Amino acid sequence: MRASSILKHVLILAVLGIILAGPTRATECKPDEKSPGVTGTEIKLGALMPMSGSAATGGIFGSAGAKAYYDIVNDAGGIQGHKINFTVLDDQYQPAVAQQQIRTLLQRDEVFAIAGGEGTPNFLAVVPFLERSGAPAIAPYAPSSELGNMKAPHVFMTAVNYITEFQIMTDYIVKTYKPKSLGLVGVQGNVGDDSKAGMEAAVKGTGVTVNYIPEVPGTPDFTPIATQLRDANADWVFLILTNADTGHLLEAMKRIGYTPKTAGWAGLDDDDYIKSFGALSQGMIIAEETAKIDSKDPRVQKFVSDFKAKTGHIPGKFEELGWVEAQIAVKALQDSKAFTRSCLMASLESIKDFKTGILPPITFGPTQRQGVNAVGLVQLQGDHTVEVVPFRSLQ
Amino acid sequence: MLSSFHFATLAQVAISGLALGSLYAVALLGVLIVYQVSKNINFAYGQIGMVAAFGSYFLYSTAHLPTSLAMGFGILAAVALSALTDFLIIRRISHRPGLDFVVTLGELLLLTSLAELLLGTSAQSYLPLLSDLSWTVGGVFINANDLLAVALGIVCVAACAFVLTRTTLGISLRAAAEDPAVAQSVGISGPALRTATWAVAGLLVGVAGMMFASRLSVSSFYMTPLVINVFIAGMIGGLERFWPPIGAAFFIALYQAIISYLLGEAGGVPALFLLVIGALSVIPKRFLDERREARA
Repeated sequence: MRASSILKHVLILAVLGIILAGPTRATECKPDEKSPGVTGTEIKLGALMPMSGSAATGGIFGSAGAKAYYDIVNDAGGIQGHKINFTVLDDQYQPAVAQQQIRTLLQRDEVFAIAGGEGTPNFLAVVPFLERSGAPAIAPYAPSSELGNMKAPHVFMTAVNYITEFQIMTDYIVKTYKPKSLGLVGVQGNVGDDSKAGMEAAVKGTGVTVNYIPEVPGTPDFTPIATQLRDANADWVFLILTNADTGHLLEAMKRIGYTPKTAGWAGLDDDDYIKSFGALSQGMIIAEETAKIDSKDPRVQKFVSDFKAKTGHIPGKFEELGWVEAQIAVKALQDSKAFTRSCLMASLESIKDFKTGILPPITFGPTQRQGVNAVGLVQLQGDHTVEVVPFRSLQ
Repeated sequence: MLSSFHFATLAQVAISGLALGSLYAVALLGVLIVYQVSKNINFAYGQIGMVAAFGSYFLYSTAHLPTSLAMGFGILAAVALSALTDFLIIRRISHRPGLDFVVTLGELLLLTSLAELLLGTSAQSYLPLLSDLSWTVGGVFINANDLLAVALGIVCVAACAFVLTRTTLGISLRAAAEDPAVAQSVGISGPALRTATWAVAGLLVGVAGMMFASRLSVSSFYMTPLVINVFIAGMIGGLERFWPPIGAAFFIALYQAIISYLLGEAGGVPALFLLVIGALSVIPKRFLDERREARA
């Protein structure tokens, strides 16, 4: 083979490698680029959230939190004279519905960017279309190992994926309580699989077994699952279901006399869940992705007082999430050199150590799309949760 | 999972399946009597049950009424709503076949939206209805709520069977359904009987709705997956019949419980639809046809 032929093959391979590796340089801000959703007076942002069905609690309160923040920003004049026009569409926590609604947001409503969101399977379903459209997606609450990396470079994640969340939680429980066997009931698919992966990573080498039972939302009878867990002799049962289904499972477990210790995903630290099913969940260890509302952090206290002044009530967990999603979007827009999608991407990539008080400090980068990698742990005692472990990341 | 399957486990899963099947049967009775008397299907049927449960929840938790009074008002609301559905809507469209589907679907959406608006979207823990009482027998945990569900199923099914086949009222109902004009000519008021039948259906779904809520939780949409199974039982057994669909209701609940235990929840739903397809394929046509009654 001649040297020139070898060189040609090497060059082709090198180019292919660069293409397959994806973008590694910082996104270049192009102020003259044409982007939809921006006029002289407004910037259109959109989000998909479950506003009906079994996951509606997260969507309704999440969107309320975001709207409250945008209203405050608009009352103060907006961003460089542009008011935020925020639209939330109901995806019913259904991937098929989410796929229709994202087209509505991006093609009919022509929003500038996707800001926030609630739910993993529904958001994952829209990622391919989002990527093709080139619209940035800012801080959706869709914990998943599929996101927060350069496989989906337009999605900037602050929600810790369930692998990390469950690994940190399992590590604490195994070291503190020394269980022999753990159970996990999780929504079938990516959510449950990631949680299982995190738990298995934490118990590796300890001899503790993990028994995973996937669940389908809206199940009418949880006795078979409860019976499986009881038969597996799980000392602790980890839960990542919708809040309603969590309550149903705990009820079914009680009905067959099975009362293991429980641990749950961050969404269970919610006033509505505690009010509805707190009696069944006493002592539950819950992952904490956002600061407690009664935190002494002055930023959190300011959030609570601003929210209460705007809405008349103290915020709950999902409202807190929606608020911080909006906060990050506004920060990125404020720092953006121009209101084009490429400039917004560049602005997001430049966010370093952004302290909201609500989340651990957020850092993105040219190749970093996972802005947060830490969770805390709280325990349900009475009608409120008490911190047991402050924010910590994987060692 | 198969290797760990033993009798106590089977019994545990079967008891819960039997209890759920009993509640399916109670709910199905309302579907059957409405269809057999007025030839209508009420898509809002499950939401009428939701009104009973969610309404009573509101009355005892927010208005602080005694729970028995709250439940009584909840049942009354379901009865009234069901009767009014026939009186105000179905009667006016009885000459236009197929419109009942559309109208009652609209009612389903309306009731769901109203419940979300007035009572919120969160699921709420309902009254225990004896689920705090339990015993262990041979390694099997027996819960009083399961026994209550089974007892209600037996009583309601037996009472309906008795009324329909052994009483003058039952004969009048069937006569009115066969030929309203002839029934009217011998003094049987078809429309009034029909509305009364819808009212009884409201009572049945109200009771079932409250029992379902005690086993799950109450929300604006909790009845939807349950009522789907109820309608499936009706389809498999035949809405013109009595014992086959009631049997199907029990069978579906037991079948799903055991399949879910053996294959996981992901196996439960497809297994049910395989059952439906299989049943409709192999059941002889003559069992699905309307019974041919000897006419006097």
